[in-house]
Amino acid sequence: MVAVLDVQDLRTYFRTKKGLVKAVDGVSLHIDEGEIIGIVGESGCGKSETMLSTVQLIQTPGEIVSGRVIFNGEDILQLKANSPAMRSIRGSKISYIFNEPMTSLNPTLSINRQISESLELHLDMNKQTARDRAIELLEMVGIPDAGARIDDFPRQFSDGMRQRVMIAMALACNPPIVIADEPTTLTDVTTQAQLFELMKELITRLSIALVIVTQNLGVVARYARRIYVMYAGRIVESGPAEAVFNHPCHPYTLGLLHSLPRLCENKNLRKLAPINGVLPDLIDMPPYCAFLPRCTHKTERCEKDPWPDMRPVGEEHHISCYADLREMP
Amino acid sequence: MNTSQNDIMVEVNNLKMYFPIKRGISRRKAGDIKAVDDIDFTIKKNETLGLVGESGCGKTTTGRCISRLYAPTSGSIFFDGTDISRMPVKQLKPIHRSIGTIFQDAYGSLNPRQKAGNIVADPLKLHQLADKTEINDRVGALFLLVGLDPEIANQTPYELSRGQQQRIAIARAVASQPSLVICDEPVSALDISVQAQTINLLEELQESLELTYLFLSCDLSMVLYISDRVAVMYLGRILELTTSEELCENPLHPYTQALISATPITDPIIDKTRRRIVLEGEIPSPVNPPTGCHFHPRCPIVIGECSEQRPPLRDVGGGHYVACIRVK
Repeated sequence: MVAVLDVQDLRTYFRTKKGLVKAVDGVSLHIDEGEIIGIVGESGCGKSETMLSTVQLIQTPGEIVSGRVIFNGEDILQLKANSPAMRSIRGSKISYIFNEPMTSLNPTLSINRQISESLELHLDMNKQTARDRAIELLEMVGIPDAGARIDDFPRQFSDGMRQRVMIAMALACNPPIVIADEPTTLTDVTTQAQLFELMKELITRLSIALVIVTQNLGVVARYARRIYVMYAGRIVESGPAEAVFNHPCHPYTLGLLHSLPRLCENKNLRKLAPINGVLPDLIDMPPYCAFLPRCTHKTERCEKDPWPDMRPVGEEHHISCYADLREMP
Repeated sequence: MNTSQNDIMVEVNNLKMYFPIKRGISRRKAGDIKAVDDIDFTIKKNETLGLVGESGCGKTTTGRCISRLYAPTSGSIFFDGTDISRMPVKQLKPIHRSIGTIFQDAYGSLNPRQKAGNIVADPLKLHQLADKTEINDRVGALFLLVGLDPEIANQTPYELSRGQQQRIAIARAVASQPSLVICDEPVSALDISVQAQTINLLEELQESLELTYLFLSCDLSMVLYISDRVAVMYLGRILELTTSEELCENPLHPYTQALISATPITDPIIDKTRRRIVLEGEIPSPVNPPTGCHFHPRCPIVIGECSEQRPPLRDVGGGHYVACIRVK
C-alpha cells in the first residue's frame, strides 16, 4: 500500500500567556490510499490540531514548530500557509468536513454558490458546468430533487441534509483525502448511521482516503480500518481496529474501553471502571508519560525515563508505553 | 398501568404538552408544536426509568412537566399520590423541593457570577433546610458527598472543569433532599473517562440517599446501562417500554430495533456480525406529525393501516409495552 499522506514527527505548539501548550507533540501517522483511519481521544488530546496542522490551518498563538507532512512526494509543510500551492491542496486535494454544518456553511450564499466555488477555483470550470456538477454531487449524496434545491440556502435544509451538503462540498474536486472532524457529533444516531453509510459507500467507490477525527469510539470501531489513540498531544496506541479494540495494549486505551458501558450491559452486571483522575493540564507538561498520574499499570521506569517511543506489539500494532498489557496478569 | 400502589412514585396519564406557534402582529395562534403527545408511564420507587430517543422526541419536555417547570397542556401527573399537573405555581414549592433536576449542559445551568458554594447553598436557603450557622457545614458535606474538595466552594463555575461543574449541578440537585431526581443528559457533554466517574457517582447517590431517577438521554448504551426500565420515545410518543434486559434481548418495535442497530459498539469483530438497519428519511416535524403511527413513514415493515390509526401502547406480556400493530 502507498501512503497518500505521511505525517512525521509533527509538533504544533501554542504559546499562551500561561505557558507553552504542546498541543501536538511528535505525532507520526500515515494514511494509505483509499483507507479509512480513525483518530480518537478525549477533548484537548490534539486530534483536531494534528489534522489542521497537516493543511496548515493553525492560527496564532499556535505554530507548527517542526515535522514533515509528505503528500505526493513533497513536504507540504514547506509551503507557505497562504501560498497558491497550499491553497490548491486545501479543498481540492485534502478536503475537510467540519462538525457544525450550520456554522461552516455560509448562510448568505446559495448551496450552488458554495459547491461551485471550489469547482470554479480549483478545476477551472465555467459557471454552467460547475452548476451541473454541483447538482450531480447533490444527487450523489442523496438529496432528493437536487435540481430544484440547488439554489436553496442552508437554512432551508435540515441538519442531516446540511451535513450531506458538506459531504458533497468535500468530494467536489474528487480529492484523494477527506478529513472528517467530528462529522456527526450533533446528529442523532439514526442520522449518523445514514451519513456514515453514505460516506463509506462514496469513499470506497471513488477510492478516497478518509480520516475520521472523533471522540466516539464506536463509530471508528465500525468504520475505520486503523485507529490512532491520542492522549495529551501524542499517539499512545495505533493499529488495526480489531487489534486496538479487541486487544488493547496501552493502559489508556484499556481504560477508555472499560469506562464505556457496552451495548446491553447493565449496572447489575458490571460497575463502570472509570479512569481515575482528570485530563492533564497541557501547560508545562512533565518530561515523562503524561498518563502516569492516572495509570494503573505503572512500572519503575515510567517516572525516571522520558515518554516512551512507539514500539511494535503486533502486526501494524504499536504502543507508547513501557508496560505491556499482554504480559500483565 | 395500575394505580394506587405504594411502590409507585410517579404516574403519568395521557400527558400532553403542546407549545403554541404564534404568527403575525396579532400573535394569532397558527398551530402547535406537539412536544409530548399523550403518553402514559409510571416510575417506581428507587428505580431508574430511562427515557431514550433522538433530539426533539420530547424527553426533556416530559422531564420538565414532571418537575412542573412546565404546566402541561392536559393529562395528569401523580407524584406520591397527589396530582401535581394542575397545581398552581404558588403551591409548587414543596414539589420543587422533592423533585431535583440535573439540567443538560451543566455549565449553562450554573450562575457564572456565583461561587460554587453559594450555588449549592441556594436550595438549602430557599427551602429553609438549614440555619445560617449550619449552612457552611451542610454545603461542605454535600461537596464531599459528590466527591469534590470543599475548598473549591470559593471558585466560580468558570474556574472548574466540566466534570467538577457537573458535580456541582448534582450537589445542587440533591441538596434539598429530593426523592426524585430528573437527570437530563447528565453525561453527554463530558469526556469518556469523566462520564464513567459521574455515572458511578449517580449510582452511589441513588443507593445512599434512596433516590428515584428519571434518566433522559439519547445515548442508548448509557440508558440501558443505568436504567431498570426504559421507555423509547419518538416524536412525542412512547413506542416501547420494558426492562433494560428485555429491551436488549427482545426489542419489538421496529424503531427500537433500528436504534439498537444504529448504536455503534466498540468491538469491531462482533460489530461485523450485527444486523444493520439504516432508516430512510429524517424525523418529521412535531408541528405536522404523520397521521396514525408517527413512525410509519420511515418504518421498514409499514402496512396500510399504520397511517390510519394511532397504535395504542399495549402490554404484550410481562410488562413489555409496545405501540405497534405489526407486533403480535
